[in-house]
Amino acid sequence: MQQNRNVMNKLSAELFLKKILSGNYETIGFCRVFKVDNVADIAEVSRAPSVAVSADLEDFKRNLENDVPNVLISQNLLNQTLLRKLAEETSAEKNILWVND
Amino acid sequence: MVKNEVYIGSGNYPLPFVDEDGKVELLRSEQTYVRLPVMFEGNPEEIQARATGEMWRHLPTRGRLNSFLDDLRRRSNNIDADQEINHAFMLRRRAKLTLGNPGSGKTFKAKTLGKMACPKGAIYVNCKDRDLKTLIVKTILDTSNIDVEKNAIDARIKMYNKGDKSALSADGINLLKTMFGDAFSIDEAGKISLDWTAARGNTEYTSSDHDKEFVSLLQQFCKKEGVDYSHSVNNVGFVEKDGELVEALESGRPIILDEINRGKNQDFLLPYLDFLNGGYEDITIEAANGRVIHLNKADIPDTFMLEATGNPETAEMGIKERMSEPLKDRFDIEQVDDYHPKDFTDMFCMHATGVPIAIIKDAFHIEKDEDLVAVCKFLRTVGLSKQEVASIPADQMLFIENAPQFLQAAECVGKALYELYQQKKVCGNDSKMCEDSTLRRHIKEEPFSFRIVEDIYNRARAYIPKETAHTNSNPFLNYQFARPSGSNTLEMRMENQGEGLEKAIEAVAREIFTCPEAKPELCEPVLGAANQILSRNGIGSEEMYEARSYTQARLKDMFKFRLPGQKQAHRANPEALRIQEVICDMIKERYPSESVKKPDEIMDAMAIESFLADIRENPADEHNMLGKAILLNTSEDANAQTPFIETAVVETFGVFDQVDTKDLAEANSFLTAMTIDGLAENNLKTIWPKMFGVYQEMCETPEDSQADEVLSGKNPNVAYNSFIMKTKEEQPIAIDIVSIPSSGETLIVGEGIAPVTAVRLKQRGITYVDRTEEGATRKIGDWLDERDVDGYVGSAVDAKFNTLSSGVSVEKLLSISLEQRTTKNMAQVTTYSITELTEQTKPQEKSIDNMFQIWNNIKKQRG
Repeated sequence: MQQNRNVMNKLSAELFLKKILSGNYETIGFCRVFKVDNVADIAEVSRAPSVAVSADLEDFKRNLENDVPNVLISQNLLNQTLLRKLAEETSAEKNILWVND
Repeated sequence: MVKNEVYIGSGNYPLPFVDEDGKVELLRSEQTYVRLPVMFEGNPEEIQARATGEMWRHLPTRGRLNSFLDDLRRRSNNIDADQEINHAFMLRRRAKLTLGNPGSGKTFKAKTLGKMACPKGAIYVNCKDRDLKTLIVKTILDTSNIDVEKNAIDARIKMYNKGDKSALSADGINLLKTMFGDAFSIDEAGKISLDWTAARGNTEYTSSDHDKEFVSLLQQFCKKEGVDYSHSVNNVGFVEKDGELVEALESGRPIILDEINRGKNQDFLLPYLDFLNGGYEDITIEAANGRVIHLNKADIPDTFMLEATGNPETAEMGIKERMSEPLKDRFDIEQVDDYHPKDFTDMFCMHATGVPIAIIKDAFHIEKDEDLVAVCKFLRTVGLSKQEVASIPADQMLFIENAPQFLQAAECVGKALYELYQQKKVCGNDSKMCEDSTLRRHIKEEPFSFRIVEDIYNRARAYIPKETAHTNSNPFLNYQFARPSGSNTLEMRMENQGEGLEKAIEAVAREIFTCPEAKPELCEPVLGAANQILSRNGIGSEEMYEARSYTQARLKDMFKFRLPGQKQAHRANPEALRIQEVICDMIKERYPSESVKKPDEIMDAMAIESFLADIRENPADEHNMLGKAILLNTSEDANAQTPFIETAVVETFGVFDQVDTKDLAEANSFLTAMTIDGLAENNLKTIWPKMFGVYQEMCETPEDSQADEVLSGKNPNVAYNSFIMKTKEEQPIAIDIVSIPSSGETLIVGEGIAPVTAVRLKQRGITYVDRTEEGATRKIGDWLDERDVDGYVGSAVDAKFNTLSSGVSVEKLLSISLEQRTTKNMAQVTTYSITELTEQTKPQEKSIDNMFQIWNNIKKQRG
C-alpha cells in the first residue's frame, strides 16, 4: 500500500514537472531557466526523482554537476546576477527550476 | 581515473565538416575517424552514444566546424589518421588559445569539446579580473566552524529577499559587501546572494591579515543585526585549496580559461605552458598547503586539454593588461573566422531545438520531411537517460516534430541576421550611410555576435501580445476563441512566438544600429536599410511588408506550430489560409466524402499563396492567372475531386439550345469565389465579355447602344448581365448581376442558394437577394433606386429579355425565374470534370491558355 502511494506520488510529481517544462524558459549558456511561481507546483515537483532540490548555494553548485537533469533552487537563495553567472559558466545542460517560494 | 575511447567520424558515427565549396559533408570512412580519449564510464556502446549525442547537441555552427574538427584531431589518439595533427598530440601540445570577438562561439566550442571528453564537462574559469596565480593555489573561506552563524545569516537574507526589509539594515548590507567582495551580489529586483565558497581575500580589506579582519567584520555584523554568535567565529578564516589547473591536471578534466587576456599576472602561466606545449619534460608544482606535485609529460592524462580564449586586445574590450608576446608564443593560437552565411541559422536551430537541424539536413542530404524529423529526434535523445529525455522542454520536441517547417522559419531569421551583420560592417565604415560620427562609432564597435540569437529567442519566448481578445483569422466564420488561462502555456506561446520573434528582431536591429546619443534624423538611413533587410526576409511592420515584400512569407505566419491534437498547421500567410478555409468549406459541402481530410490535403495553402503572389505580380495577365489555377488543381499532388476551378474562377461559358443541368457549374461555388478578395474582381472581369459575347451572338433584337453598353460592362454608371448556373439540388437557375464600376457595389439576384453563401456575400459587402423570397422585388427596386441606375438596368433587361419586357418594371423582371425567361441569349456556365481537365491540359501544356478562349473556339466551329 505504502509502496503504491510512493509510486503515485512520484508519478504525480513528474506530471507537475511536465507542466512546468512546457512553460516559458530563458536559455542561459547550456542551461534553461524556468521561473516557477505557483507554490502548489513547487511542493509537487520537489518530490520528482528527476529533480535535485538545492538547500543552499553550495548544494546547487554540486547539483549542477550531478546526473539529475532538473535542479530546483529558491529565488531567495540565488538572485538573478549570480544565477546568470553560474549558468553561463557551467558546461552542464540542466533545467534550472528557479522557484519563487 | 577512467580511460576509455570513442570513435568519431567513422561509418556509424559520422562527423560533419565543411568542404572547399562551403558545403556541409560528413566524415564517415574508416580513414577519417578520430579516436577520442574520454572519461565516461559504462559499456562501449553507451559511451559512444553519449559522446556522439553531446557532440550533435552542442555542435558549433558551420563557420566553426572545421576548427572544431581540428580540435578533435588534436585530441586524437590514432597515429595513422592525420600525421600533422597527431604530431601535436605526440608532442603533448595541450594548450590552445582562441582569439575572437565576444560571442563568436569560442567558449561554446570549448565547452562542447569538454562535454565530449568528460561527463561533467570542462572545468570553467572566468579569468576576468582574476589573479591567475590562483589557478594553482586559491584561498577560500572555511565556514565549517560557523555553520550556526552562516545559517542564521542565510536565513536573514532569505527573509530580506522575501520582502521583509527589516531583516537586514543598510549598514548590515554594507558590511556584507565589504566582507564578501565580488561574492556578494544584489540584482535588479533588489535580491541579495552570498556565494560563501567564492569569498576569497577581498582586496578592500585594509590589513594584510584577512582572517582577522573578516572575523572582526563578522562580529560587527552579528552585533548590528542581532545575530547570536559563539566563540567559534574566532576560528573562521581563509584556507588554501588547490586551484583549478591543478585539479584539471590531476583529474584529467579539460580546463577552459575564458577571457585569459583580462586576467591578472598572466605571465605566471609561462612555465606551465612550457610544460604543456614546449620543451619542459617535467614540472614541479607547489600546490595548496605545501603539497608538492611532480609531473612528467607522460603523466598528463589523455583527456586533459587547456583551452584558453581571449578577446581582441583593445581598451573597449576591457583589456587592461595585454598578453605578453612570450606567453602568446607558447600557445597554439587560432583566430576565429568570420561568420558563415548560415551560422546564424545554425545557432538559432540549436537554441530553439537543441539540435542543429540545418546542418543535419545538409550533411545527411535529407530530402524527405519525415526523415529529417526522425534523424533530428534521434540525435536530440541519443545517449541520454530516460530522465534526461523526459526533461527536454515541450517546445523543443514540438519544433523537432515540425522540423521542416521550423527550418524554413530559422532560415528566414538566420538570413535576416546575417544580412544585418553585413550591413553593420558597411555602416561602420561608410560615412555616407551614417553621417553622424557618434552613431557610426557606436555601430562599428558594438560586436554583432551569437549572443544576439540567444537574446532574440529569449525575448520572443517571453512575448505576450497586448491585445487580449483573439479572433479567428477567417472573416467569414469569425469564430471567437477564448484566451488560454495563464500567460505561460505552450499553446499561447506557439500562437504568439512568431509575432514575438519579429518584434524582438526589430528591437534588436534598432539597438544595434542606433545609439541613444545619436540624432534620430541621422539614424534614419541606417535604420531604414536595416528595416529593408528585415522586410525582405518577412520580418517587420505591416506597411513595410506590404510595400516591399509581399512575395516573402511572413515570419510570424511561418513560426506557428501545430500542437499535438491540433488539426491544422498554420504556415501559409493569412490570406491564403482564408481562401483555403473557404474553399475547403465549399468542397466539403459539396463532396461530403472529402470532409475527413485536412485542409492541406484538399488544397495546399502554400500553393494558394504562390498562386496569389503570381496574380499580384502579373495583374494584367489574366490567362496566366487562370492557367496557374488550372495547374494548381490538376497537379499530381492535388486531389482529383477538388473542384478548385469552380470555386476560384469560372473558366468556361457555353451556349446551347437547351439547358443541360449536368454540365452546369454550381452557383454556390461561384458565389463563394465572389467573396474572396482578388478573385471576385478577376472573376467579374473574366465572365463579363463572355456573357456579352453570348448575348451578342444570339440576340435577335435591334441594336440598342445604351443596353449594349450596360450589358458589355462598358457603361461608366452600371453593368448588368445574367447567366445560368445550377443549385445544389441540380435545378437550373438564373443569376443576375448588377455592378457599379465606380464604387464596386454589387447586387446579385438568384435563388436556391445555401444560406451560408448568402451570409458570406453579405459579409463581403455584396447584396444578395433571393428572388423567391417575400419582398424580393421591393429590395431589388430599392437598391437600384438608391443608386439611380434603374433606367440603365431597365434598358439592358429590356434588351436581354426581349419579348417579355413590355410594361413590366425592372425589379419585377429580375424576380422572374428561369422558366419564364428567354434562355437563348443567356450564357450557361459550365464546368469540366477534373478528369476531363487533366486530359486536356496534360498532353499539350501550351494549350492551357486556349482553354479560356472557349467563345473564340465556338465561333470558329460555327465557321
